[in-house]
Amino acid sequence: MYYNKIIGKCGEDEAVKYLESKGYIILFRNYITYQGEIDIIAKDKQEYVFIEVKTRSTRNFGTPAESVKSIKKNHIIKSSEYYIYKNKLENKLIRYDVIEVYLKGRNSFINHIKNIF
Amino acid sequence: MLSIVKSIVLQGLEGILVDVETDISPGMPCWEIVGLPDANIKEAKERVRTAIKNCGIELTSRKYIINLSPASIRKNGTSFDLAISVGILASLGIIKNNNFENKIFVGELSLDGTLNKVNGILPICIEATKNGIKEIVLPKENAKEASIVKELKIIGVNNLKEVIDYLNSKKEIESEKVNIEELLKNKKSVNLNFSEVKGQRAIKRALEVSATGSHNCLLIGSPGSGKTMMAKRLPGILPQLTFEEALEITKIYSISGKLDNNSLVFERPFRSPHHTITETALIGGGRNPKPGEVSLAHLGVLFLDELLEFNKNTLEVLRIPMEDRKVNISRVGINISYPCNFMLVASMNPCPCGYYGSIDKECTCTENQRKIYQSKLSGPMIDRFDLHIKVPSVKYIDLSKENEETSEQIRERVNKARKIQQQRYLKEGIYSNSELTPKLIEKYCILTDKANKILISYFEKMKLSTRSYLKVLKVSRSIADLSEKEKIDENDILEAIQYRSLDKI
Repeated sequence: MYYNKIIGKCGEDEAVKYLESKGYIILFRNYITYQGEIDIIAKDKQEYVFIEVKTRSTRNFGTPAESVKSIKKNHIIKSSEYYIYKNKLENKLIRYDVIEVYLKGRNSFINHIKNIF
Repeated sequence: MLSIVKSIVLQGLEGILVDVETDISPGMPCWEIVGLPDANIKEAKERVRTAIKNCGIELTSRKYIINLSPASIRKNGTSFDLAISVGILASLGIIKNNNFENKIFVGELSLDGTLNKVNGILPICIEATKNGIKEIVLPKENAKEASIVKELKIIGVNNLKEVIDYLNSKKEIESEKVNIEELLKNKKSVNLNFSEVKGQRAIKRALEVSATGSHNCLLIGSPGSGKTMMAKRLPGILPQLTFEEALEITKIYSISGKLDNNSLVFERPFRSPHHTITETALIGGGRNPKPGEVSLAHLGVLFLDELLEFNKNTLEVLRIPMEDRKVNISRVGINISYPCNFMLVASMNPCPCGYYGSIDKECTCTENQRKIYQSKLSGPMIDRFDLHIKVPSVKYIDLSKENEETSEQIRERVNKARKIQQQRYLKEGIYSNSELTPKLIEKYCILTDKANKILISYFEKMKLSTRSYLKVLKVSRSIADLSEKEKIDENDILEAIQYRSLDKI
């Protein structure tokens, strides 16, 4: 369990590095509500992006993005709605992304999937 | 941005213009189709989204709201896919031309953006012209069928990309055209010929009369006497279709998706449902009511073989359509009327063993059995048949005969007689003698004095119902037409009377 947490943290760090290199502004990390958690909230030019990061060190259990299922999806949407409500973003552009991070030793490989829902 | 694209929805044969309004705005990303859509329109969302993506256009994450107005009418079918995708592309600014005033879009999308054909194109085009539409964009496969409507500009397209290019004036597409005269000439040859039926000249004559005026007829006879055989050969002697008739038939076949060659129906339909058929299948129905067998037999023949084997309730359902020549199907929130001007031909045995009244064989049924058997056919149903034909079994001498009349020869006479009728009823809006109303009968069925006397004495002796009386007149009119007579004389009336063998005293 402890090991997986470290991997997850590692992956999120990698994702943030990647997003910053692409010119995204990171607004929030690990936004936690009663409904669930959003890994990263960022701003891509005009668009607000809610990002779920999935990290894997092995491909034996399917691709990371596959593990985002309907319960997880609901968590993300519910908590993002809370964020939108809090910050009055109702009429802004909104997007949901998934970032897959594959860790292999010291190297990492990132796959950014835009607009998933 | 908002865009409005037109499409059309069919309720029965009636078309209602639908505005497909698309709005794309920022906010929580979602796709919403509103305006009383059916399940298959809701699914259009996925088809449209994937098709647009596969045309190389990236859809950004926005709030997509699609409204089908008027929102009070239930919409069904997959024909809205094209209109929805054009609406979205126009809203996104990919289609720059925003003038969709006189255009409608009809077609089903597949995931790669190809357009698939949809049902009911001919009625859609006819209704579109009635509503002042000038141009229709539809799948290429449907273009041939649509081109029968000459008032419309018909743009047949293969895929969504072509539609975008066409609307952005990057590509010219010619309007589809067809030569109707040539279509009508294109004919199938008759497989079953009357020359194969040996003897039975009286029966052939009766069928000729009924084909002439499209009169209902009931064939009664022992097994093996050739009832079914002759009825199956009936399509070969039916009169030729006029263009208006062909159009009416094609409309119904188009809606039910039974149009195999994608253009006009040239032959009069001949429908022979099995006797296990249900009421709904016979007169039409379902949640989105589809035409039943009676409507598919419109302007043609509905042949019910072994009439008494049919469920009694199923037969009684036929009563009203036979008189009104249309069926009204009512379901929740929808009321549809389909035409069903058919000629009913039925065959039956006189009793369970089949030999009652036969000269050669003795009937083994009891009186009671016979009664039960015949009671399946109610009086009102018998009354609705214009001709009751008793089919005797064939004699050996007849079997060896050659030189029987061919279907082509009979058809020539029938055609001639039908032409006379069509000319006579040009102003009345009907096609044949069987459609005459009492008022028209008074106008067109003029009897000679002698014929009139015969009819009066027959009427009084047999205590005829008014309907049978009118039927005798209609049939005698057809007989007179066959011999090209202006007035109905005593021979015609007598022949018509002898076809009413089931009228009881």
